Formats: sequence, structure tokens, C-alpha cells
Amino acid sequence: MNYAYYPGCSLESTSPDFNISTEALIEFLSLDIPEVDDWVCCGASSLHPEDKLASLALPALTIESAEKQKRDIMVQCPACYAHLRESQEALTHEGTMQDNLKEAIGREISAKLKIKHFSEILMQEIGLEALQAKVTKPLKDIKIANYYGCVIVRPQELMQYDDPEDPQLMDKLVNITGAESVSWPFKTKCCGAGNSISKTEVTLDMTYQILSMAKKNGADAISVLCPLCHINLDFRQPQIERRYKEKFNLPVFYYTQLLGLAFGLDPKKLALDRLFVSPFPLLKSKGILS
Amino acid sequence: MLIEITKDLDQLAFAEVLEKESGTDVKKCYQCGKCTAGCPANYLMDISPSQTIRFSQMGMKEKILNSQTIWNCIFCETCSTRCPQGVDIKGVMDGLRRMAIRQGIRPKAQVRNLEKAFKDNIKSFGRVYEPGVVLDFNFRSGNILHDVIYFPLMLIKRKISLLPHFKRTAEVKRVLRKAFQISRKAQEEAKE
Repeated sequence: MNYAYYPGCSLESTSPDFNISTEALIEFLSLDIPEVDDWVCCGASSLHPEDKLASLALPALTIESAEKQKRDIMVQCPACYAHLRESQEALTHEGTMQDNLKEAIGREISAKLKIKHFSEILMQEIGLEALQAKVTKPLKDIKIANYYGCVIVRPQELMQYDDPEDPQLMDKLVNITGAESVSWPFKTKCCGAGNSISKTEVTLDMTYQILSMAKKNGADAISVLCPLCHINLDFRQPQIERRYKEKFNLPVFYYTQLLGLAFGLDPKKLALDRLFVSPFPLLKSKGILS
Repeated sequence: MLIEITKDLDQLAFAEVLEKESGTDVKKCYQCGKCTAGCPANYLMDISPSQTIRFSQMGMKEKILNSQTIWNCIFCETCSTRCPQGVDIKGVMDGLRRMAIRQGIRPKAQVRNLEKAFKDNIKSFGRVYEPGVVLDFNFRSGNILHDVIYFPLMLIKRKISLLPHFKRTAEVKRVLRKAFQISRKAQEEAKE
């Protein structure tokens, strides 16, 4: 294992809780994963509708940085993940796009490295058994709806993450914590994504459906692996409740926070106090925190 | 009633241009409707995703390029993933947007403002500072307080960082400028 961590802009500016809980796991598991030197934005969702080449060129700069460090890339944000993968595809396949990228950047980038999501690294390179052995505080009696969102599973040919209709990877990780992953139909239904800023009411409509479906399937909380899904389900939850006059009170965890809790890490170190829907009443009622 | 569909050569050419632009063959669609059934944004569209594909087959260019549909697609790719015929419907929406812009059809202000806010932010900092994107978007849209009322709470909760990070801004600007230049040149050559 020889990775460098690409947090991406969301984890740096609006989802420090995801970043902090990721760093906490890296430290707890004694993994050698430093940050990618001088990484830049992956282009977010703003470039591709206008200019494909520009949208592939920015992630290429970060790929080059990791290459110079002689490391593979570990990502947490699914959108960054998709953009890096797409850029890598273009950099490694002969054609006009490859030539144009070379011209735009001014140098050649071989891009022969692995790009993986942290959950895949935990699953495939550390393994469920090894992780299970580190659980000291099982999250008993908690039912979790694992919500994957769009980008990590679609398009499948590019992401190669898991089944796009019924992914299981996060379910398996969450199950080793002692919590129970519920079976529910909205694992990969869209949360409204970037509409959160430009057409907030559309996001509220979509997240309302996700929260009610999770609740109706018996979930006590939701687990996510995307910073934007998290903002839309956690930060916007009070707004959703006001709009639809319905109380949910469903804490939304990052999967890293659930793992960290089961490993017995301090809730502060997992940034649990930064969640908008407080998870503490739930965790106390189940006897997980006193 | 008999509807005359594609007598116009320009209209026929439209389907071909679209196929090139989106990299997918819209002729394969047999109207099962799975894309429309699974589309979370269908309720915001004046033409459903499956209708958009049918109209593309028919070369009904003006109707599609002037629709609300192409600006309301969220790019969640549920449609492309489920299409039993392997039509990349999301790719079609993306391609239609680019074709509309080239024809001088302006995207909806919300779409335009958000893309511009993101792009300027990347150019200024090299990394996106999301609270800055929200502020910029609000100024452009004339709704200055949208979401900003939550900023104090987010700061208290330490949910957002106070300041942007500057990284390789000169290089990012240079690469973006060059990329836009190359794309423009390629488009002009294609026109000739």
C-alpha cells in the first residue's frame, strides 16, 4: 500500500468533519498516507458542460503531483474520484484528447497509478477481518440506511466501484461495527447534488424522499460517503422538516465516523460535534456513549 | 392526423450531429420509458427524457434545444445506467446543452450563474472555497442572503473554513486558458 490522500475542496472548505474522521482512521490504523503535495481543484461540476478538455486538464495536475511523490491516489469525495478517473482514462489512451491535454498542460503525464476510494482500500487492502478485530465498542442495536448517492456507482464502467443498483461495499463496512445495515430501495437515488446551491427547493424535494424512505425502512441513522450528499441530508434536514412539516431527526454519519466510533475513538476526534443533526441522543440511548 | 416528421435535411443532420456530440447512438432507443421512470428530475422537465430521445430521432431540433429539460437534468446518470439499449441519455443531455450554447441559446440564469461562480473561484484560488461560491452565486442572482443566514451557525459549528486556500493559481489559470483556446480552435476547424 503506497497512497497519497487527495481530500479535494469540499473536505477542505465545507466538510471538515469528513476530513477529520478520515485522518483519525488513518492514524488509528497506522497507515502511511500523506496528503498529495500541492493538489488543486478537480474542476468540480462547472467545467464539463462547457469544455471537456478543461475539465480533464485540472485533475491531470493533481495526478502529476502524486506521480512525482511516487504514490497512488486515495480519494474520499466521489465527484473528485470520478473526475480523476476520467482524466486518467484520457491521459492513458492515445488520441486527440491525450494530445490536447499534453498541449494544454505543456508536458506529458503518464498517469500510470492507482486511484481508489478510501472505502475500497479499507475493504480490499486491509480487509474486513482485520478491521473487525479492531472493534472495541460495537454499535449495538443501531439500524443504518447506507446511502451511496450517484457518482460513486455511476457510470459503472468508469467507477468500477460496486453494483449501481444495490451496492454492498459500505453495508459490509458498516456491519462490522456491530450496527445493522437495513435493506432499502433508495441507496443510489440522487440527492439533488449541486442544485443545493442554485435550486435549493429541488434538493429539498429529493432529500425529503430519501429521508422518509430511510425512516420507513426502520433506519435510526444514515451513513454516507459523499460530502455533498451529507450537506444535503444533514445540514438541510431542518429546512426539509420545515418545508414538509415532518420531523425526521435522523443523524447522518460519514462511514468513517461509524468505523471510528466502533474502534473506540473519541467522538471529538471524529468531529461528531460538527454534525447538524446531533447524533448524541441516539448514541446515548443505545448506551454507546455515556 | 398525419405528422410530417423529417423532410428537412437540416433536421436529419441534427440527429447525426447530436450523435457525434454525445458519443451515443440515439437510434437504438425503442421507447421502453425506463429513463423517464427513474429520472428524479422528470417533474421539472417539459419534455421527458424518453421523449427527448424520440424527438432527437425525429430531428426535432428547435423543440429540444429550446426545452427546459436540458437545463434541469441533474446528470445523476440513472437513465444511462438503466437503459437496456445502452443509450447514454445523460451524454445526450450534456451534448444538447453544448449545442444549445453554440446556437446562442442562453442557459437558465441559475445554471449559468453557478457555473460562472465555480469557474471564477477555481481561477482565483486553485482550490474551490465553497462558501465563496455561494456568495458569488448569490450576488449574481440578486438574492444576497440565500443560505448566508446559515453561515454564522456553520462557523460556530466549525463546519466551514474561514478562509480560502491559494494553490498554484497562475498555473491553473494558464492551463485553463490554454484548454479553452484549443477547444475553440477545434470547433472552428470543425465548422469549416
